[in-house]
Amino acid sequence: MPVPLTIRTEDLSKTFGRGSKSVPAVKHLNLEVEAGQVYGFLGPNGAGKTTTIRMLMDLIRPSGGKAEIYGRNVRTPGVLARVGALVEGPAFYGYLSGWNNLEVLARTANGYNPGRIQALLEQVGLAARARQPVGSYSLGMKQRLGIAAALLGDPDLVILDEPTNGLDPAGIQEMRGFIRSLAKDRDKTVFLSSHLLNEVEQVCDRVAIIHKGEMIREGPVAGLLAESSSKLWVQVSPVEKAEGLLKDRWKVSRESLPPEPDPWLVVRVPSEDSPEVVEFLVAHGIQVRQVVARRQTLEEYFLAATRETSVGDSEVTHD
Amino acid sequence: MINLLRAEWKKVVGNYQLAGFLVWIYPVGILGFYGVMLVGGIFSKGWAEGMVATGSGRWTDDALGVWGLIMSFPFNILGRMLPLAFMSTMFASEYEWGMWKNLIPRNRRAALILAKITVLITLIVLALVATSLVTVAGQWLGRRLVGGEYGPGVTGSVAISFIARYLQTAVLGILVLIILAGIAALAAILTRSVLGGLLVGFGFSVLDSLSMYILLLAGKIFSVPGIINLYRFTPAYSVDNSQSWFNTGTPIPIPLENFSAAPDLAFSLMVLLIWAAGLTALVLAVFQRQDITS
Repeated sequence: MPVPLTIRTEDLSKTFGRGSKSVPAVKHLNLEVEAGQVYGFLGPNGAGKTTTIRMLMDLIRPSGGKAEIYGRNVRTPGVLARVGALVEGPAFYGYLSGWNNLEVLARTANGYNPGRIQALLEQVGLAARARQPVGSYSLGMKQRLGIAAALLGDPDLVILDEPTNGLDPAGIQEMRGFIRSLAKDRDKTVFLSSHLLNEVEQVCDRVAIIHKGEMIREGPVAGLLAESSSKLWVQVSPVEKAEGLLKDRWKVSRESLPPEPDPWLVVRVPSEDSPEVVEFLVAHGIQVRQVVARRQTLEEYFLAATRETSVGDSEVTHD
Repeated sequence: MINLLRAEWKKVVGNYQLAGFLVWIYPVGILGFYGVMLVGGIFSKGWAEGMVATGSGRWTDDALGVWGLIMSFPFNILGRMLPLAFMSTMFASEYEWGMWKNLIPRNRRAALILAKITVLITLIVLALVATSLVTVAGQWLGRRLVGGEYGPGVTGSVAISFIARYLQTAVLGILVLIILAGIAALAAILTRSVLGGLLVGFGFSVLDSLSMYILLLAGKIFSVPGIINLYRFTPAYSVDNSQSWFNTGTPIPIPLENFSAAPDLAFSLMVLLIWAAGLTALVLAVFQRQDITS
């Protein structure tokens, strides 16, 4: 029997409002997240990331389609017991202490275990402030408490919405390591929504990019970057002849980097084809003086992908 | 469910300021009143006489009279405000703290609402019982200072009769509190704000308390005198009528033209039950379908 996907959405859609005032937030979203992955969920503000997460957590009713966790509809009682989530920033009762907030949440889930609360508070570095009101915590401390709350029930699936918000640089590094260790050492699946693209690049195995409620790209992070055109900067002579030759096969632009007198040609080419460009130039008698290969970052990839869909409709690409 | 109730209790009782100002103010306020009057009474008999004059002279009636704060017109207009404000704020604050997103994935929505209603009502009932005890103790001490009877004497039959009457009154009070909780919850869920919850809750409470006068006025304005009979279906009338049946075995006398009293106690109790169950069901239905976007 096949192992059910951790998260599966089929044509998941949400429209807020009715009639002429209706606003589609998520449109026919199809997601498949396998167990043990750290899955990145990327999109600009207002793309529909949080609405999707809220539908996965049964906080918002879908207008269409369905959302499943471990093969069962999220509305089925008990399904979300296997999920821990930090949705759109940490929220707690400011008048209760960190410990009491976690106790309230654990008891609400019918799973109060003081030892587990203590261990989690120590893990997120809040044991010393555990008895103080959350209202006196900094944003970073609340964020840590939010992570502890998400892990209270020892969930198999952890959904984190911008988990590094409010953390200092050391905290961010620590959090990234922690997220990776959840999947690597504790066999948890992590669904990570983040606007920090380098974070997703460093932490995630797979990524989905959504824009205006629609998924526009999906695949392994490494695959998306390899498939995407990297930039090969070449300094050649004569420039005009080289540019004319290259343009027949690849996208080429000319860039100047003052104070260097000679321009560079920037060739958009899959990274594995870089040697072919050089061989091609040499074979046509072009003198190649310098070659610099620059891999496209996920940020550039993301910006290019969202720009493309802003210009016109694009099909979803799955790897 | 026990864990869920304990979670709610921790939240509600842990909000010291809110619970203090809106719930414990009843027994603590009465305690403060009797404390000051008793100390004054030691030095001046006038203080003690003034204090005992606020009681009925019978501990059984003084103990029961406390429930009039939420049930008997005209005290209930103001008396209901504090429990309403308390319940409305506790529901709305889940939105204001943004906590529903943490709670809903952990338990069923219906269970979350029912647990909250249960705990809020339990706390208010405890406060009213404590207020009864403080009132009786204060009046008894006052009588010791000024002299005179504070009856009836505690015998087996008096105690049994009192407990039965107290339980009857408490059950009525709990029905009233469930109706108030339903209104507070509905208003807070629909408006998602403390202020919205308070305004709608207070509006309902005032309309209910003054419903007889409103219906009379409406009957005159629209020339439909029979409209006054709708008063039989209001919580205000049903509570007063039930109390009258419990205390005297007769319906509450309402000397109004065109008004026919409810046929019996069961009718008024049924009206209260329908209000309580109907409002609770409505709250559950609305909350079940609500999108939690904050």
